[in-house]
Amino acid sequence: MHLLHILGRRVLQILATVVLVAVLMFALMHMLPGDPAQVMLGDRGSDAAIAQLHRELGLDRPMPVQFWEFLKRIVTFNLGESVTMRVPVVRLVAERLPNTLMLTAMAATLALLIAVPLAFVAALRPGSKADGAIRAFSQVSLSMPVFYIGLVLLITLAAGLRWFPVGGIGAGFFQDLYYLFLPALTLALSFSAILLRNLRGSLIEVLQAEFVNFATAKGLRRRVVLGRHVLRNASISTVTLFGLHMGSLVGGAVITETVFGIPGIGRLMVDSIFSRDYAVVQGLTMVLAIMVSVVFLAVDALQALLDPRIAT
Amino acid sequence: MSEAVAPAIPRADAREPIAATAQRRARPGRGMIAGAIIILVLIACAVFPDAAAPYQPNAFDYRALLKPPSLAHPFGTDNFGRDVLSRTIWATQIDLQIAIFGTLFPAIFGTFAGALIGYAGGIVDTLFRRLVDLFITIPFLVLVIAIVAVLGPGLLNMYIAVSAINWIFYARLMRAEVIAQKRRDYSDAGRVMGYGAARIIFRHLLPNAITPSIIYWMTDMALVILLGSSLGYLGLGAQPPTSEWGVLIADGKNFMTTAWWMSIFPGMAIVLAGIGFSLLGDGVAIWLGRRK
Amino acid sequence: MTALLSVRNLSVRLGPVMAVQDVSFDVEPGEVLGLVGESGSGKSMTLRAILRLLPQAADVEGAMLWRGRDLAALPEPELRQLRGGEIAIVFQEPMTALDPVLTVGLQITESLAEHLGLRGRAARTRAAELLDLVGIPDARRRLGSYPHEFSGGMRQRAMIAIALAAGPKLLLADEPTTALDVTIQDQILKLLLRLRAELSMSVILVTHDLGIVAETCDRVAVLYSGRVMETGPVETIFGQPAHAYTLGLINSVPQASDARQRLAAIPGMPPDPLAIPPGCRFAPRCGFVGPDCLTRQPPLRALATGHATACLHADAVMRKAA
Repeated sequence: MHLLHILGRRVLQILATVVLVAVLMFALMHMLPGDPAQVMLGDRGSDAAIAQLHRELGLDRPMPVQFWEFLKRIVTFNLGESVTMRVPVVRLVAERLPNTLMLTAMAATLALLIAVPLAFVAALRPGSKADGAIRAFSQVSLSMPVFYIGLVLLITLAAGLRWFPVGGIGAGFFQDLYYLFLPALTLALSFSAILLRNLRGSLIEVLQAEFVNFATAKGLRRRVVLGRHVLRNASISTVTLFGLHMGSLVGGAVITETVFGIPGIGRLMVDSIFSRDYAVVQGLTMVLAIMVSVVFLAVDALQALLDPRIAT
Repeated sequence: MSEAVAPAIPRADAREPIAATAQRRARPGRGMIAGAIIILVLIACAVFPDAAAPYQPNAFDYRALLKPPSLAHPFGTDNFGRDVLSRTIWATQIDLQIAIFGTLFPAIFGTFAGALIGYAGGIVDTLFRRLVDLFITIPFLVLVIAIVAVLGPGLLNMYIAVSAINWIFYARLMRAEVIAQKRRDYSDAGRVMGYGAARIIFRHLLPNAITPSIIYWMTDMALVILLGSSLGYLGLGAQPPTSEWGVLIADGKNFMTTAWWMSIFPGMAIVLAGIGFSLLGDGVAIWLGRRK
Repeated sequence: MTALLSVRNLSVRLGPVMAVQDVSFDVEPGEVLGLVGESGSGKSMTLRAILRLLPQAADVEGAMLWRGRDLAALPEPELRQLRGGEIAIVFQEPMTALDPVLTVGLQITESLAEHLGLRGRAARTRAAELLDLVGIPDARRRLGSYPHEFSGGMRQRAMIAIALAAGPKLLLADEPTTALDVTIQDQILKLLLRLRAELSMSVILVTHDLGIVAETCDRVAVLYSGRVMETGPVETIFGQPAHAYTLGLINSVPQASDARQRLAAIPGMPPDPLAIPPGCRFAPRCGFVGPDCLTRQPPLRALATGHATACLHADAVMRKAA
């Protein structure tokens, strides 16, 4: 199957997903008891304000028309306006998305740095004490909610030892790295546990594969067998795993931002829920869906690059 | 020259008589037993909190505010003088409730739906797969939060939100099993004999396909507790003054420097529950796998 | 002439199972030795044991003398040099034995680098020569192809090319044609014979197919349930089998002239490895069995030069076959 074919299919899937998410959000909005405009404004709305919002959102028109307008707005990147902050949702997203992306990228990198070596150690000596310790670490980590890991790190390293700041972000790129380290570590510890468990399994499989036997039978050094044959095959499953569990990473980012007070889209999401700012909630859900989809696309491309059996 | 008679079974190493092997395989493993014990302890705390907890969960004691762990208060006290250990124990029933209600409806509905979808195939199946794609793309947490946003915070709404999403995973599992089983001969045999679809599904396909679902259900309970406590922490799940582990942790987040015990100990309860369910789930999987 | 490889009393134990017991045979320079037996007879294990490719858990005893040195006692670095260097092995299923994510060219050149120190252009040229040698057309271009881009027979040829990279003196072939179509089988066997001649190489060919043995081997060792039953030159084994099992095997091969007659299978099944009977392992299924066959395992004894049997009633068998 040609590479373009695969990527093209994925792009179509992304579009379909975005449309479906839009439908979901639209449906949810209109499932609310009462008038959406009233719900959105809540206690803040005077009758005049509600009426105006009503007109603005076109709520007096028939449902199919509303939906069509809704879709049109989405396509033009008009995600509506935040009722609490009176700014376009898109601008809010633009301000905060970089922070979330940076947090997620740092966490993903740290997670790989933790999970891959540990998985190797565990897979090379299955059943050993080291393996047992690594699996225990994985189990405990998986059983800890992300916010708890964050609080533990905060209490010990930030508040306690004062090695790291307690929250927020810095003023520049390098300061950001410092401020985001603890949150990224939190997310990484959680995510690496998921990666570790699966990676260990697939590494064990690869290590037992016949081609590893054959490579050994050719008289290649262990270093070469592991570094070339095993690594390249294992990296394919790593990339796949990564994509599969992207959802956990993003969900964890939402919580981490809340714990550490990072101005990213995760915290914006939670804040908006409390302030009943549905336009923002809607918009952010779609942004998150698109974010994850783009990662899926990247994973597909990377897989095709690494595995010659695809796209030939 | 006398010839020694070879022993009756000259195996190179008679390490274990075969009967003993069979018995060893049928016994539950240590992990499974450990998991079961943990869960039983938690159930005991949930069903008999009065007996397990030394204090009432909402008993204020203004003379003992923010006290560190001691003999009188093994988990310390919070900013209202309430005993953290007792509150943690009393929270067990809520969190176990979350584990059950967050998984029961999805498990039952999802399993049946999955069986039907797997058996029916065709356009129903295609639609289902699109739905699954959607639910994988949007993180579980985000979806639940979005629904809770619409419905409003609270335990009941959280159950509704979690159930609305979680059934998909059970359905997906069951569908895969049914599709695999469908190909086996006995379902064809059933069709040839004129059995109706329902009979084939319920009497034959389901019993064989249900084991992975049960195992998944146990690990899912751990996941739902994590999710529920996360929502509790955010203020979107259980509402104060209900003690739920996530809520308890949130109570302590403003006292990180002064009273770390408020957040740390309830968190350990979550970890314990998670480990318990995972051990149990993994243990059952291994045990059933070995007996086959 | 001293043998190239001398296996003496090789035994392999895996847990409670004795997969290979007391196996001895020689391989002369330039000859093709067949190791023939049913599934579970221990032939593959024997082969892998020579290069110490068995899992850690396996207990290996006995001596394997390669040009005088005992392979069983060889230290790791020298063993590594030997593997793929003087002794090479090809596996049964090329699709699993070749690394799916590396090009065939790379899988050859890494051997060239390890054993001959060849790199870069020189290595690629040699690799192309090897692909050419095994009969793969358009060799230069095929260096950049991946295993899944070859057909089954071509993949097997590629694996042979990889094995030959460092110019081994002994090729261990573990059922190299079992996974292939009959027509391709024939091509591969002819290839092996050609290579044996051109490269003055010895081959140990493991197979369950007597037809292959007849066509390609010079000498044969017949294995059953982990033990050697008979060894000898191919013509002798086929013409005058001296073991009841060998006779049974040969008789069970259908001939065209046997049309409309019952297939003559050997009754019964090989013994359960966990419950091996005392005495000759073949005794429960043997038509020539006598009371002395049940008490102890018959040793391998020489009948004539190069012909040995572990059957107590060899004479009766040979008379029957004649």
